[in-house]
Amino acid sequence: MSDKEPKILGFCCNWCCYGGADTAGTARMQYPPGVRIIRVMCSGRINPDMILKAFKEGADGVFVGGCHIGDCHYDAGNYKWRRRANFMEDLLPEFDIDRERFRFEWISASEGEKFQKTMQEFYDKIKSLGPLERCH
Amino acid sequence: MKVHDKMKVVHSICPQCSVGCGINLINIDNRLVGTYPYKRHPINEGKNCKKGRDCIELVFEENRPKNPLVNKNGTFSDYSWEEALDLFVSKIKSYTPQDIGIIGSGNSTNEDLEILSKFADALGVEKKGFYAENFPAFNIETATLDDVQSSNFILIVGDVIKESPLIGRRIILARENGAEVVSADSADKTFTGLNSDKYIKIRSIGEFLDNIGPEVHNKLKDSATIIFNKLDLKEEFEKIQNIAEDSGSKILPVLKQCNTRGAMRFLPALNQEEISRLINDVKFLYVVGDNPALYAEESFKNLDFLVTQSSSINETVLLSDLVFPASCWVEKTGTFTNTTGDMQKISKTISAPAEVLEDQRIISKIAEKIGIELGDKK
Amino acid sequence: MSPEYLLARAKNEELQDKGECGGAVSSIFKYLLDNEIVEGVLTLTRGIDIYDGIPSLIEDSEDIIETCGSLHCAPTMFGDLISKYLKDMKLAVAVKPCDAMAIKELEKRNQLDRDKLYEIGLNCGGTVMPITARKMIDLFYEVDPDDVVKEEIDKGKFIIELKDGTEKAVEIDELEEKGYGRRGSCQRCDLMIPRNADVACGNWGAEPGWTFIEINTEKGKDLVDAARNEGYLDIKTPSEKSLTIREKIENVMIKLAQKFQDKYLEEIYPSSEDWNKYWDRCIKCYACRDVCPVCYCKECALDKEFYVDSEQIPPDPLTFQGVRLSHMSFSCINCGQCQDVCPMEIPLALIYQRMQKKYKDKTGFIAGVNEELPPLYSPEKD
Ligand SMILES: Cc1cc2nc3c(=O)[nH]c(=O)nc-3n(C[C@H](O)[C@H](O)[C@H](O)COP(=O)(O)OP(=O)(O)OC[C@H]3O[C@@H](n4cnc5c(N)ncnc54)[C@H](O)[C@@H]3O)c2cc1C
Ligand code: SF4
Ligand code: SF4
Ligand code: SF4
Ligand code: SF4
Ligand code: FES
Repeated sequence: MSDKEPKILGFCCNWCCYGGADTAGTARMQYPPGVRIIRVMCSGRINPDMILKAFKEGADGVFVGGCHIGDCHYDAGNYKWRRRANFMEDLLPEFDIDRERFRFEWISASEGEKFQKTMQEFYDKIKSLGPLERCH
Repeated sequence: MKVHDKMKVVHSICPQCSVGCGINLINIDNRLVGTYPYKRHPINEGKNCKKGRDCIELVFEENRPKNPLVNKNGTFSDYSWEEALDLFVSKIKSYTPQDIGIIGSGNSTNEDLEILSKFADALGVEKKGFYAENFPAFNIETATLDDVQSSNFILIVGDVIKESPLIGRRIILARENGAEVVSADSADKTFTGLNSDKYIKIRSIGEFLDNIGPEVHNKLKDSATIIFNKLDLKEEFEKIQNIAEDSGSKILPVLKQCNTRGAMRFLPALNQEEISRLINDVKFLYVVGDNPALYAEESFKNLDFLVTQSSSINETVLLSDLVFPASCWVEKTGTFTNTTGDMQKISKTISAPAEVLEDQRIISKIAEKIGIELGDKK
Repeated sequence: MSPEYLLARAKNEELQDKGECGGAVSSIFKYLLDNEIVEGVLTLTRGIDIYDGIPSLIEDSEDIIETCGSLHCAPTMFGDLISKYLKDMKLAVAVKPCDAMAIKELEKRNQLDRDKLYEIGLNCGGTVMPITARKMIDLFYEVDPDDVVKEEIDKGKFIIELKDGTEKAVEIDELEEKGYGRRGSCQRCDLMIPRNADVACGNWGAEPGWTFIEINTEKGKDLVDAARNEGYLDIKTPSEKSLTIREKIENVMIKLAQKFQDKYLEEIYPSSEDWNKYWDRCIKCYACRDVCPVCYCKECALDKEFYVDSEQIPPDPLTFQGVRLSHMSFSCINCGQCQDVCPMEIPLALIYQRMQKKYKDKTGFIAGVNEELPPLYSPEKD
């Protein structure tokens, strides 16, 4: 285990997960400091290239949060993302990136607690895995 | 309904460096539109680097002279061949051979170089040569690519794997077979160094050669190869040759251009200083296929008259008084001698724009006009 | 449509004689050109020798004779030649299964018009790289490769015929064990009969002098019928026995391929350390992308500023090969072209085929065979 703060990047969809983060914030639920959130309009906006780029730029863990299945504001965005996410889980280990460094969840705007809990769990996981060491 | 030449895939040799890789060109209606792997070629088996696959861009018309051009106060105007040749002849006749310089190129075919060299001889021009960086002319047996691949130990000077990837491939294959690879260069790190067992940062090649340590020296034997693509001084070639001879290892100098090794048979191999001196010493300069303004621009100041024969618009062309549009490698037939000494044939694949002529044709026309004999070659 | 099997041979004696089996493929091409049903035939001609297959566009049926026979040392790819240069032409093309798979993926991406195309499939047990073939003939057969006038793969052997008419054969297993023989991708390829083409032609189950044809599409059926009616083909019905033999060989070959898949994609698959060494060699020449028939994009993400942060080599594999993998590995047809052209000998097809296999196991999508685009492209919910 390392003392270095893990760098975690979170992509959160505007309509649900980002709202969840907001709810967590207003309720003063603490989530770990090493987590940086990027707001995107929909999880369907996320493509594998972005996940790869995040790891390349030095992220130790990448999180993607979207609306619950069925609740996507663009109807099918999170279905599309889920297919890509499943694929990513197979691709990352090919580059020696533990699939646990990549996580995706469905979190609604009201689920501040779920957001806080998920981030804490993910943070602990990444912390236990240590910094991502890549030779490139 | 028969439409011919819709699409043809033809064999060629890559003109972009001295390795001599095969490459298939895709020709549609006398236009090169792409490349296709030439897997039957023994040097590269269908593999080409990016520079190699980009070779078709050398033919594109936007960046090449299509007519003889005369430079009048900075603007070029089209001339007919008749006028342009007359101008050349009247100018060159006004100088003594001592005032005339001729620069050829390692990009030209052996056949073009042979004619150029005969032309220089017929005129009595002694200030002639081509740019070979710091490599001297040599005529010794060098390692083959198969030798490289079957070496047990390889010493590399320069970033050879990056700069000549299809020699790099043989080094990689040797390494996969268990060869040990040591590379040396002046940078902090190199791509070749990354792919070597050991990288040595050196101050100068000469110093490195004089102080090769036992950990390298002991491994230089009959199954070892020394590969180098640069020298600081011409004399270092002999040094490397001696090291190789003493240890029984082979050497492979990696030259710059597709026919640098062939050109050494026809024209003196000059380095930057020698070329600059040559240009400085003459009044009339005839450049065939090279772009000396790129590495010796300073020395152009003393020239009265500059003639450049080229298939592309380059720095030297822009400085010229007279420009002859020449065909490029796919528009002619001839041979290139690659860096391992293999002579390979290239064939005419497409026809050049109407007023563009082959080097040989242009030189013969000039000779005819001046009234000199170039021997039996047409 | 339900499959239909027949034996065919060229009526024209010259084609029958020069053809690999019964010259049926060549005769079909001749029929199509003579009757101006197609404007051209894309196939292979022999270049400097039998190791040199050159893609050629034949527009005159008189020239078809030059294209007869199978070249087993010509691992060519026709898919992107059509989509890049010939898509406006009515065309017939001789396709190995991988060519047909590439065409299928390109068709789904609207890169070519399948209606303009007659795909004459050739069964394929694999190809050998030309220079590998020459080396192995020298080494294992102790024969000057220039003395070989014909080669074929039959009953698990690579057989060569010499100028003086003698034959020599070596077990493919033995050759491949020593690193020679068929390309890695061919060893692992489990599509031997191109049922994704209009017809699939081969020698398995055929009588000597005949070509075995499996009809796959209505278009293929109409074509063979017409070629027969116009006097280009002799046709007869294969015996039950020849069907059984063919099926048996196919099954054995598929099993063998699967064994090789298990071996190379799992058991001795390169470790991540090995891959790091491979990626260190990459000179970012884009040859792999440019040759890949599935990588068809006019504007490629790999050229975008976003990923090209420097001209430094080696590139970061995550945003170089990783991006390409994430764009199309699920559609990889394992043609092996990327690996063939990689100047740095990186075993690319291994990682691409492995990813497609993982994807296939999860989603059932078989690249080059399924009619639909991979589910990753789907706008649907599930
Ligand atoms: C590499 C290869 C492997 C094969 N393996 C098998 C096998 O294992 N089992 C089996 O039943 N049949 C196999 N075949 C098919 C068989 O060899 C005959 O091609 C087929 O039976 C048709 O015979 P034909 O006399 O009608 O062909 P022909 O009339 O001789 O016509 C053959 C056509 O195929 C083209 N061609 C030749 N080589 C290639 C190539 N490498 N790629 C694309 N087109 C090419 C020729 O240009 C010609 O147009 C293979 C063919 C090839 C090319
Ligand atoms: S290594 Fe040299 S000869 Fe070979 S493809 Fe590259 S530039 Fe051309
Ligand atoms: S990734 Fe390689 S093996 Fe796969 S389809 Fe593309 S070129 Fe063929
Ligand atoms: S890498 Fe991606 S963007 Fe580039 S050609 Fe291939 S599929 Fe298209
Ligand atoms: S062909 Fe090989 S060296 Fe070239 S970019 Fe692809 S992986 Fe890198
Ligand atoms: S809007 Fe939240 S996942 Fe699509």
